[in-house]
Amino acid sequence: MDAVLKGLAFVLQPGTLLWIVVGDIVGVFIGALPGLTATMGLALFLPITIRLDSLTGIALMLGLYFGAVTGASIPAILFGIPGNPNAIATVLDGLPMARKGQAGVALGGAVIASLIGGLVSTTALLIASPALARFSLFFGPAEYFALAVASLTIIASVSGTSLLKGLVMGAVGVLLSTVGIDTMTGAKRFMFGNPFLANGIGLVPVLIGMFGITQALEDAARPGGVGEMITQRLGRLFPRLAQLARMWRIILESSWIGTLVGILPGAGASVAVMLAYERARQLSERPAEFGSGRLEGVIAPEVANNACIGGGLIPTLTLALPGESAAVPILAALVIHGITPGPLLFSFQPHFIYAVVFTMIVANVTTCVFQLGGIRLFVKALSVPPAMLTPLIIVLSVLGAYALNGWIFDAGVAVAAGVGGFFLKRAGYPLIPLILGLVLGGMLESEFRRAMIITGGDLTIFVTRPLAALLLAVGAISLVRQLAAQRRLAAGHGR
Amino acid sequence: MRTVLAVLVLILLLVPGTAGAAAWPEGRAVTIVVPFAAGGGTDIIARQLQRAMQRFLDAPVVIRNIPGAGSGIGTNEVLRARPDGHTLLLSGTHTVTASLQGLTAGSVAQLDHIASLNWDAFVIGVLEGAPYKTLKELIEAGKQNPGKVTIGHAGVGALTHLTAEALNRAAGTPWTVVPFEGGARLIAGVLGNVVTAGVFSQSEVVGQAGRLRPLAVTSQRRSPLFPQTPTLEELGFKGIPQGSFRAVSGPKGIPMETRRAIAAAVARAMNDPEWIAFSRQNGLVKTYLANEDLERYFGVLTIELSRLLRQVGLIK
Repeated sequence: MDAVLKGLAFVLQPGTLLWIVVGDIVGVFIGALPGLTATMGLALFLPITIRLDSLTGIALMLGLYFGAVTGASIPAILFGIPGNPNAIATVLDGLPMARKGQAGVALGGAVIASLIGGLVSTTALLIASPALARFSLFFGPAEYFALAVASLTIIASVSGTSLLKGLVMGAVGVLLSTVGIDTMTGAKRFMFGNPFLANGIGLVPVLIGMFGITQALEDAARPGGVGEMITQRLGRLFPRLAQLARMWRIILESSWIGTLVGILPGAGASVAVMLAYERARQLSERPAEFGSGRLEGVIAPEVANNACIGGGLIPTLTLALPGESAAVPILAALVIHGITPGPLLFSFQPHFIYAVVFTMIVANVTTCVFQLGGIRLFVKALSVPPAMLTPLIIVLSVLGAYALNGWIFDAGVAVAAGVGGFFLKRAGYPLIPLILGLVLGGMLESEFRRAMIITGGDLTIFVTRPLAALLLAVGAISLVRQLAAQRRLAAGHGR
Repeated sequence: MRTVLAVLVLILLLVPGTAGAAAWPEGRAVTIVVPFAAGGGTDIIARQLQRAMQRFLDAPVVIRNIPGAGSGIGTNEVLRARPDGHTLLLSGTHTVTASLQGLTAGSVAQLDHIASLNWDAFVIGVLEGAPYKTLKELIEAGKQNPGKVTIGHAGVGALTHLTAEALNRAAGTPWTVVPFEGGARLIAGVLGNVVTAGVFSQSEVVGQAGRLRPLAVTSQRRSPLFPQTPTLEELGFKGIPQGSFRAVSGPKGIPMETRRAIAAAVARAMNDPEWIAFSRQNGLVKTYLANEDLERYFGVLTIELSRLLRQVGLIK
């Protein structure tokens, strides 16, 4: 009890509150600008936190983290460009909603969903942390491999009209992920003597290119359609309460998907949002309307991506294993301040855990208030004349890719990905499976090989480990379902 | 206090001659390039060094994380920088292994090595509650069940990899060596019983106190963090990498005056009580060598590590 009060007392200091709000505001802008990820923002602010005392520094970082994840929904909905990978699924229904004149409801819904997701996962962090930390240890190479397979097949089957095209793009992504130094043998693969390729093709430049530049090119190519929704009115800002209440199950399940995926190291928000999106589609009364502007399609991923924050911090604090890439700078900040994350943190510094949890709650609420209050402002700020918007997005994308490591090479990757993405999309190939293949390819390959090293080449490990078998089955089912749906559609057309 | 120190520094710099005073530091920022992402072991040490050095320098000390290619990309950045002492590299065994594997644009000899910081010894550990109480038992178990006992390390080409392979060879290859991507994944691998044992950094084992059981340390002497744990030498294993070594280097051609000034600044930082406490807490072994001595030492390391890398098959 003493620890709870100590934690609460810390958060209620004006200094702490101020830094949380500073983090929020900076975070929302970082989130809203395409190409700036939460991880990047946190890494950039790490030096500042070192000058603050340990808990205040963490407060700034948590505010920034929530702000960046929530803010990413703004450009996702208004322009179809996710601010960062956390919002890739928000585009699917957010943009169609904006086109239908429901941008306000989509934006407001996204903020409220973020609040709910954040609060649920924060509660999970508080209650279930020690137990959940143990759960992540059940994940061996077989389970990680199966998880990557399941995520890829699910995404390949949901993100386009053709299953084959989705799978092809997923495979291309996996193939691209093999570029660079082989993490199992140190061999240099497809590097052609270019040291910039040592770490592989950068995910962020590809993401910026395919979401920023491709979208900008599409807008430019669409006759008269550039920036169509920008001139539209926002409409009402909030989803009706009854509407949200009807989605209780989607909200609840998305919270759990986000929290659980967040706990697993390496999986991250981009997997969580796709899983939540797919689950919401299954739960919806009108699954066929997904992708054409259903509010559930915005709510589910937005709940999940904020839930990932709490989830990702669970193993960070309990095992010193960051669950999410953005938890890495937070882990660094902890260690720099002499706080050793691990199971013992709960025994010896419980007030610290409570302080973090209360900070997360405050950061969540203040982000929500700030973003809701600012929506009209953001829309105005983002309503640049369409003729200016396209070049502006391209410039920002190239600059964003360059700023990542200070490499011109990355800017080149972004441009190549942007132009390539434009033509692929025109040919009906969905881009998200490619990006996910690039994200998960490394996991897919190295976990498979690690499993083979450990078992001496025994493939049965993938079916004898129940969790791995279950995940592979989930992937197979999603393929079969999509195949059946395509058959039905084809049969329907034939009649 | 600050002004007193500033005056002292000024006097110190004026005494040996004007060249040193003009060369470094002159108010322009000193950048320390960390060739890894923020948050790793090397980064944490660099930030501690930054804090300690900042206390008595008038110029701001800035950390720049340039990760990639097993430290190769950050190293390339320093190789290209002007040799004026304002761009430095947090170098060490990673610089040697990266350059030997051809990941840098130049060899270790193309850097000026200025001052060394510490050794970070490794710990061979298993899950607390595992049936192995000694390294000998772990070796025996491996010999009796071929292919079943596994030992993980934190990454291909990194020092923990070389240590795992060298130890396995020295023990008669009883184990299957399993690479992981980073220390964090390795901890999870051992805690989750995916692999039997691991080659850890000491701080990793301290962070998991009560959950990991140390069987041996790689340092020359017993670690104050694990006084009960024998060293590999005590157990009869020689010539196994002792851990990772860290130093401060710069691009070739820094004037000797400047190099001495930097080495002196590093030496003072290492006497900072906070630095000492930090080192003790993380089991870092202080090793201060400067300029010519350090150059010689890097030469010895290069020979040793190239032999090991060749054995493991990472270089031909």
